[in-house]
Amino acid sequence: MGKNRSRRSWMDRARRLEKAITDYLELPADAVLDLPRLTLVGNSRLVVENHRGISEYQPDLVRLKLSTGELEIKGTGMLLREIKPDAIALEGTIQSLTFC
Amino acid sequence: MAWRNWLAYLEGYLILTISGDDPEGFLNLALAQGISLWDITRHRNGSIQAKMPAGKYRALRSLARQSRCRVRIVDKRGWPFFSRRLRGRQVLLLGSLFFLLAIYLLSTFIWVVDVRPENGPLRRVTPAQVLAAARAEGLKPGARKSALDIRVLEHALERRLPQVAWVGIRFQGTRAEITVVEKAAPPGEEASDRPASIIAAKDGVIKDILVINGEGRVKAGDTVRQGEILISGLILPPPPEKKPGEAASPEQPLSPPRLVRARGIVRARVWYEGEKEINRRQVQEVPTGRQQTTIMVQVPGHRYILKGPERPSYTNYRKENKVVALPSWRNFTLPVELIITSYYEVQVRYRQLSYEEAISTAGQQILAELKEKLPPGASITGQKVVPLTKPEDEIVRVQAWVETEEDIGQVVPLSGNG
Repeated sequence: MGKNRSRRSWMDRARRLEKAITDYLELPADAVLDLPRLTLVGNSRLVVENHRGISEYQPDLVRLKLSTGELEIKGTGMLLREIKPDAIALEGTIQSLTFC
Repeated sequence: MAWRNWLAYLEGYLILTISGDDPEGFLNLALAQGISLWDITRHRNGSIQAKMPAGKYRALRSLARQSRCRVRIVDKRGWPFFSRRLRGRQVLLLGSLFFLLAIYLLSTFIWVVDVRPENGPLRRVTPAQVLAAARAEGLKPGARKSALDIRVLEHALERRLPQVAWVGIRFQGTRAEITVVEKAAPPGEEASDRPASIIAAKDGVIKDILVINGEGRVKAGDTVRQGEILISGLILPPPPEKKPGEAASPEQPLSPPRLVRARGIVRARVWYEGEKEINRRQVQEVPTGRQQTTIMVQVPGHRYILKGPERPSYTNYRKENKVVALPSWRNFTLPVELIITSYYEVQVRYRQLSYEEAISTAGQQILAELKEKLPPGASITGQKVVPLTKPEDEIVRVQAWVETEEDIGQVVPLSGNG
């Protein structure tokens, strides 16, 4: 357990350092830090690039895995227009986005 | 998106239903294998429907096993599957090919020949004559377009129809349009050697007459009315002279009168008369230099103002409209117009003319009107303005004359007794 915690803190420190360097060099965060890029068109279309997979898909609830956790999308009549290894396009009526 | 759909159609795709405990697991496995899926929807019963490229079909079985899902192929769509089905129905394929070929072949023929006058209705040829000539030259319904040379045809038609100055042929699809321009007869050219007389085109007093050919019937100082013969083309033979030696000679047969084309110049004094009425109270509009512009878009039944006021704020104004329409294509005109309205403010001024001023203004106006109507070649020799109303009247009326000297001769062909 203690070992696990020390590893986690080491990871945190590395991540903070990485962020500091990215900020200093003004590099795009999504490219360097492996962060997802979300493109939202109104409330009808959402494109998530750099995702980690789908953990749940229902017409009124979609949960996507991301490098930083999960993204929960609530809405109605949602369908996955296209899923590719690097991007997911979702269409329907989106009501909320939650990062958890 | 449409382009993507086309690619998918060309490549062929499968419609799957994935049922089981963890359909999302199947999707994730597919993603991990680098297979992209699209149009993923969830059914009521919990199964998922998705589309995948047909080329990745082989990976499907292992994916299904690993995710412990039941995967069923519902439909196979796209060109590869369609063409496989077509291969069993070659007559259908042949039929559609034949259809396309027939359309193409039929479009290489002329089906309709039209005659279109270039300006105004045709007077000297009938469309039927043109069509008959075209038919004789090979331009008729059923002719092959590639066998017709437009330039040669045009020349041939011009040769066949001497009344025609120019022929243009144009193919519009399967329609041939013949445009015809007729020869215009130069004035007075018809029968330049036929006997003719010169008559007076209008009333006047003869100033001088010069006869080149024919017999003069009037002399200077004569008053003539419109239509009177001035120079006759009919020359009566001189009465036979009696020679002293030939007393009691047998009556010579009168030589028949000679018919010529009368030529000559007859100048006459002609008067033009007119009347004019003006109000002594004159209204003048003086622009103040201020203006407003309104830009509107007009669609059928509605006008939308883009810029500017709906109504100008001036009490008196002059309005100028400029309409900008979009270019029309064939018979289709876009029903949208841009209207630019300019309002120029004017100031209205009233001026009371004195009697003399009114008369001279009216006189100048009527004289200018009369002079505008004079034929070319008429020289003005005098003009006169006479007031018709009394000085105390509000409305002033004048009468004016313009005296000119001009050639009043008009050539008319001789018919019967000239």
